Amino acid sequence: MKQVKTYPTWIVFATIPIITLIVYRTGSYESWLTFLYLIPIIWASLFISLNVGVNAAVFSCALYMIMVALDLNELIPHYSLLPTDITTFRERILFVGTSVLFDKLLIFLALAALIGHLAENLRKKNRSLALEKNKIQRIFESLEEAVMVTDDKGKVLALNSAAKRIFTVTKNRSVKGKLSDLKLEEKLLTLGELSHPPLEVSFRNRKEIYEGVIVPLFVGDSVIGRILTCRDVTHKKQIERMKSDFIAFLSHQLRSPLSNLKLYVEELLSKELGGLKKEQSESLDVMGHQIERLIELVNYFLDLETIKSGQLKIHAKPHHAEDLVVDVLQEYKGEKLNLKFDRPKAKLPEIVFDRMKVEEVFRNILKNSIKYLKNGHGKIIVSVDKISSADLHKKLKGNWQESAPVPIQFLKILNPKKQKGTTAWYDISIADNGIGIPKRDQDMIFSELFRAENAKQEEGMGMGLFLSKAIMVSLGGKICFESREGKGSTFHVLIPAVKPKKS
Amino acid sequence: MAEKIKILVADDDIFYAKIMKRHIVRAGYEVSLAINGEEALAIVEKEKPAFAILDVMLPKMDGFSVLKKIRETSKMPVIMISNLAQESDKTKGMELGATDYIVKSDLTLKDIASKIKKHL
Repeated sequence: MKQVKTYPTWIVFATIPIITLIVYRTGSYESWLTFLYLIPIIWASLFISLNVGVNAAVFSCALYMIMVALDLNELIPHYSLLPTDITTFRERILFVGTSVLFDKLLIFLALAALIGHLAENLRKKNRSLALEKNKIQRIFESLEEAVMVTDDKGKVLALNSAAKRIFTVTKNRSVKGKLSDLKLEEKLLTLGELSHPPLEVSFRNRKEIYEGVIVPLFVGDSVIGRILTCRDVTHKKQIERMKSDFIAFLSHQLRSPLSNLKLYVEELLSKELGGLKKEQSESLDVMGHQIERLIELVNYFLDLETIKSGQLKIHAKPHHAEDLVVDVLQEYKGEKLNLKFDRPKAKLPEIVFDRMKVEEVFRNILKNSIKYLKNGHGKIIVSVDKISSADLHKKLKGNWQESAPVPIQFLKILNPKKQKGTTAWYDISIADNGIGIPKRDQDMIFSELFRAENAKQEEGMGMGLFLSKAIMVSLGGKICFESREGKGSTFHVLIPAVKPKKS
Repeated sequence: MAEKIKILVADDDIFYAKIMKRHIVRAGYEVSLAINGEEALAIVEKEKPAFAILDVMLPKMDGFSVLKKIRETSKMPVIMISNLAQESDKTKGMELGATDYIVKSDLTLKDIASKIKKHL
């Protein structure tokens, strides 16, 4: 919008002597030049803001009349304001009277012109305002998203046509009917701190599913209302559901022949059906291995889909973190590995976490460590310890790397807010003296399908760390590492130390 | 000779059922095969096996329903096996009172024998 033009006060005050001077120089009232004094008045009025303009005009006229009344020609002898034939006091008063009348008329005309001009301006402004309002109204109405504006008490102030299709507003301007999953009015009322992030809501109305946000409106620090924006996501949800059903179906269908193959190959390898030549048994080994890879892939897709579709359910219960480590290490008992568990001196108290998922992550990391050991003389030390948030913070500023954050598409699903308020963590660390991670690859190791340069000699698809990261973040935990190429890596699986509730 | 312990294997995947049976028999048990849910339930009632391995996706009556029926009368060990690997399926199985829920692709022949031994 155009800014209204105003001039500084000194121009106004400069105008007054100019007017006075013009009046003074043009001679008497009879002079046609008198009207000239109106020009600066109108000029001043037009360009200077309304009040100042009128003040200037009135002030100039007053000055002029004082001069006439006092017959100032006595002060300046060569100049006469009054006609010379007026001599008596009566005539003089009459003359002044007429002049005042005349004067008023002129001022009235000037003001009329001024007001007319201002009114026109105002009309123009109103018109453009109305146009602007209309435009906004049209945008508001044509929005595909439903928008509802309420005041601070939750009374509905405005809603667009999309919103009218969802909500029915009663006479006293409140939302009618119950919306399951969302006590809308309550939510609208409770929300309202300046620092409050937009509140994400999802609710059902009849058969449709809606998702949206509520944002508070502020004037200064106080809430004057709230805006709810939401859209119908029924169709999107249906498609998501179809996709996830399809992946579940596919994973089931693929798993079926794989499970068969696995057992049949195992049976052959177990020599229950008769002895095998060396080459035969080697071939079967390869087959078994490839089957495992396929199964891993199928598992990965299913896991990923579960996380991406937000179906990952967390089953947190009190557990000893060490038990989990002991159980997993048990699986490696028969193998020739220098694998040690550095037990904490005293058993750490139980904490509440999803054991199955942390176990999966731990197994992933351990598998990696074993895979990337330098042949022969590799060593892995596993330990469990408690670490305070402050210490962890220091470590993260130091050598421990969280590396690339979880991809944006997860952030909505995985709620990093769960970490808030955690004062201590349990740290399951897996230290190896394997090949380590090259510096340039360290930022990337948690990315999907990424493989470090020196890791490519080993089989793998680059899914384990990515999935582990996604799982840990969704549990409110963390996963980080420190590593030097050629020297080895230490991974830290961090679980927030949530104490069990006393029953 | 003492009578062999009877184990029920219910799976409509014939190849899978066949190798399971072969292996369990090798381990020294007797196996009754069922290819659908109703058959499985009939065997449970008639032959009173000591142990059951149930597939989840069975024709006529699914494994979960069979398990529910079994649990109405008996506490016998029942291991659910399936190619359904989603957590919701596992949870459902465990909630219905399964002794264990194993995803088929995770199962090895070695496991089968040891699981039976463990739960009997």
